[in-house]
Amino acid sequence: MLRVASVDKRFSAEGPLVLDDLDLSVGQGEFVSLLGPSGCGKTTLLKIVAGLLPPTAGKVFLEGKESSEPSRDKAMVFQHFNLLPWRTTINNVAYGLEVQGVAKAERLEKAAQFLQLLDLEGYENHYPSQISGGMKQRVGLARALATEPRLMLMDEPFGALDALTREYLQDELAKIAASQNLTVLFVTHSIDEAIYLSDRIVVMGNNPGRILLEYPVPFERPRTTTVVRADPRFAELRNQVWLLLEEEKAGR
Amino acid sequence: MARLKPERRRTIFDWTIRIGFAIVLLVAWELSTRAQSRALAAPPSEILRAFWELTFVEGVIFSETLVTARAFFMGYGAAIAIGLGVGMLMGRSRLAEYVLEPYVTLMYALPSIALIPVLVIWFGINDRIRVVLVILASVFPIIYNTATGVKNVDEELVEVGRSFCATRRKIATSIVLPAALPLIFAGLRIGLSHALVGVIGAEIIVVITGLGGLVIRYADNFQMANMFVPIIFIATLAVLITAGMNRFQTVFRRWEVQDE
Amino acid sequence: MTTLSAEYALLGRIPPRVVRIASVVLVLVTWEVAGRAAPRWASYPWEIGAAFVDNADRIAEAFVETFKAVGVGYALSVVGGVLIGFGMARIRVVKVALDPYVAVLYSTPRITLIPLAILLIGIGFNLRVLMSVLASIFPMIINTYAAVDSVSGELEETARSFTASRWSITRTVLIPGAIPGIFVGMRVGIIRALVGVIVAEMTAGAAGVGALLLVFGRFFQSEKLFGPVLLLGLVSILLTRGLSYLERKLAPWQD
Repeated sequence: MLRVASVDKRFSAEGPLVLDDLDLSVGQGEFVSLLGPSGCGKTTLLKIVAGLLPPTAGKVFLEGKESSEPSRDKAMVFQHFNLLPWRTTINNVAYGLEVQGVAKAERLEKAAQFLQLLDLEGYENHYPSQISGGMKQRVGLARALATEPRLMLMDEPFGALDALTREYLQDELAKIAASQNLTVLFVTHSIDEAIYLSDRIVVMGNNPGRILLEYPVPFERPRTTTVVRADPRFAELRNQVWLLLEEEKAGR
Repeated sequence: MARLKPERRRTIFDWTIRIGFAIVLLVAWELSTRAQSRALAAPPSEILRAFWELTFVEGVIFSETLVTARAFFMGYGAAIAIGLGVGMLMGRSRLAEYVLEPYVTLMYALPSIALIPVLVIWFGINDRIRVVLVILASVFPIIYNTATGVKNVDEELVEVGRSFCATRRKIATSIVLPAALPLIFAGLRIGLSHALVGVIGAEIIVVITGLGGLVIRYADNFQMANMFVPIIFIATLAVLITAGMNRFQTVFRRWEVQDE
Repeated sequence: MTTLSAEYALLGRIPPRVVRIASVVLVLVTWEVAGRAAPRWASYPWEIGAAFVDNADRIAEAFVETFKAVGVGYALSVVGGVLIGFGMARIRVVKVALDPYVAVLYSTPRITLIPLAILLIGIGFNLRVLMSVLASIFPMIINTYAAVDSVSGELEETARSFTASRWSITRTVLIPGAIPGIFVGMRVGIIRALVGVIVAEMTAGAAGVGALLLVFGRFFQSEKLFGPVLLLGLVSILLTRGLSYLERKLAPWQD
């Protein structure tokens, strides 16, 4: 469904190589995590897929067609939520639809529907400054989901939240991803989070950013964090990924 | 050119634009004023000549700069001392806050230039007016911001001090004051710009001394080119003092640079 | 926190408003008593009130005259400052070309330029407008610039990720993002616009509050002088408060 083909990225002509000949593909309905240390270019890769940054070389294909600009079939969720502070919750959720030209009545109806999906009823008319971090990110999720994208791009969406809220939202995302059959490319630097959520984990290393290894995640869906954590395969997979990252760190 | 780092290329681009635009302005100014009478307009070339003359040949500029700078620093220094003291008092004592607040609000909002006639009645047309006006212009923003800063210090930080059994005095100097610094500096900066308006305003409107007085004297004698010289000195002085304040602030608030 | 406990106990029972009013009454009474003893210096409230009523017509006329100029100059500053601020935030060449002038003029007291301004446009109504524009446009430019610049990074990118066009980014991100900065500029600017006009009236004007104050001051008529000075302060407070109120209405999302 998504294919990244031999992507290189430098931020300037003589600058260092940030991404080196990167290939990646994500299947329909698949949840793939990009995991790696900070500075390995995972967010850069995500932004290239989103069409927010141009690659220096290589191409991004979505369902066989080249996709180099932001488009309606992709939607992004941001680490710092990036809600528009002057819009109420419901108008933030409707935002993506609005810029895509959906008529007012229709976009508000759809926004209300996704507010309900994310348990945000009763907060329609609150401003972002009046709700908690966890709720802000639900609004961010609802905003992306409301555009009904074929591909969800998520940039450490739970990185700025406290541990409990984070776990709660992980479960919620896992549930929604399963029920809506989402295709997700998810950036994180938490091994646990990658395991809870993904079907496949792509581990990246830095200098230059490149793919080290991929791990399939063996747990069946639906799953919850508690169930996954109790499984002995969880500790084993976690350990494998951990050792790979340690080795990579020691190697430089 | 191709080998240059992009930041460097950008700097070169910036300065090309800046210098180019400045040259365009200067040439336009020169051409539009050259044909006119020297009593009504001064081309940049004339101003340059006047600058040389007044600064390096006659030297009047320097003595007048000292006159202005002295009044400014005396007034602003006094305003800082009074402002910090009263501001802390208002921030720490509710009685002081309630009693003084109406006057601080009124005087902060009042354009201090409007007090010049009052000061003339009190002091006569006198050099001291400048110092007093500088104080009146700059002390209220300092008081207001210091009080707000001290009052709004994070209670949890104060509890840290308490938990280590710090004395009141120690808490005031090691916690309340540094925590209030961002707002205190905001007050000092607003006060600074008001103080500059105060000293130059008094010199131009009533006292006719210092750099401001020089501007008026040259203007009254239709010496247009000369008039620009004290203006240039005032601008330089203002920019230097402002830059000094910013510098002072970064030294005092080193820890904030690490934000983000 | 650091309030003395005895003071706390006392104030705990008295509402702040009462303390404030008591403080004002005390000062007025002291002023009245002291002023009657030496009326030449600061007159006294009773006489100041009487003089204010006697001269109400002249004072009203001067305020109308002054605020006509403030209104025009301030309006020009707001519109011009917002446009220039936007331009500087979004077009690099504009920023680079203008920022030295904005920085220097912002820190230099613009009152310095009054002889030059007189030379260029004479001493009429236009001078007062020009001085108020010079006094108030720089805070408008700087605060608009800072606000637009602050939403130009991540929020602009967010809008782009939802396929927003340039126009739609301007409409949904840049303009609402600029509003808080514009209000900061407007609040600082209104008082400066007033200062600019008064300065012009004091140096070159035959009309307006600045000129009136000079006339009253020249003959040591302190009883006439204090009324309009205090009124000026009150009007300034009202204007700033009014703008804060407007901001809460128009930009309710700020906490």
